[in-house]
Amino acid sequence: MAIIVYERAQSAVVDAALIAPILMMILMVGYIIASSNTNVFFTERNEKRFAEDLTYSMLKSTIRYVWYYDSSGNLIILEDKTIEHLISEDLYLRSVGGADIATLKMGLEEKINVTLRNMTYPIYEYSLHASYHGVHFVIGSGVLPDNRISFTTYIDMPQNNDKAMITMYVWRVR
Amino acid sequence: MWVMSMKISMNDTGTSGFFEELILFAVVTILFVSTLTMAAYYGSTKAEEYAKVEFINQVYDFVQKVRGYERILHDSVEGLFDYHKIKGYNSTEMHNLIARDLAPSFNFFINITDCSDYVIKYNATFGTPEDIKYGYYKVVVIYPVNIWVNDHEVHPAKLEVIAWR
Repeated sequence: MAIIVYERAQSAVVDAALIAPILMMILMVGYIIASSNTNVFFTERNEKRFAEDLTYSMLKSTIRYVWYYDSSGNLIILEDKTIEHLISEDLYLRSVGGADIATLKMGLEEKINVTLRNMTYPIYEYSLHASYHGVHFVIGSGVLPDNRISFTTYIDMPQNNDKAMITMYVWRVR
Repeated sequence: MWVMSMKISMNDTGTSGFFEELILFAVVTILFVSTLTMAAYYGSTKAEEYAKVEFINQVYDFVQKVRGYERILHDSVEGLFDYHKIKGYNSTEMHNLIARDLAPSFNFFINITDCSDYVIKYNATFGTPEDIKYGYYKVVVIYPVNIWVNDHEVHPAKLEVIAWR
């Protein structure tokens, strides 16, 4: 006599327990890949270039006129000077105490600030740091966000054949 | 007979019934279909994102080419546009020349805005953005440049490129 026995010890519960975690893991990996931000790498490259080009464009630009009072109280007006020249003049005057700082801020640095704002509005915010032998001033935002791009260069100080350091920080606001 | 002597038996120890298995089968099927659907969705989202990033990079590269476009530069200095050369062309002429020489793979409109404090402004536009509304992708890039007027006047300016395809 032939005896046929069907063994059904493994049920669909086991199949489900094996397959469900694998499917859930695939879903999680897919979600992680999809939610990663691919834009970051590409825009960082573009924004580094932007910071560099903004710095050089700014330095080349001329301003119709700026003014300040020197330490003797005389009104000084400078016409058609490049921003590179104006920054070096500002740093030199600050280092030798040759001008009233408040008027330098109003009559010279604010004009540079307006120029930079016009060149970057409405996409970027900026902060320009200029320093020379312990003398330092900032144009633009005084608070730097964590997510920013910077570019540093050196400009000539024609007054004493030295160099001053310029650092431009930019970050996207739109 | 031989057939009559055969005995068939079934060992059902530890197994679930038909309806319990049916529910589990449904659960696994739903999970499987969800996985396929989500994979397709993530894949298409990612492809779309890469296409957009690729387009943005193409526009940035185009902006760099415009900044170095010899026909309008002063002394071949990148980003230093010569106002006297620009005013020699009308808007459509210059747009067509750029389209021919730089051959971008998208439609574009260029706007150069003088942002100096000088009384006379040297603004310029190349092309018209009239069919921009038909674009699937649209990218606006604003970039700093200069406009050379003479050796004493170099105006700060904004190069705005609107690109669409």
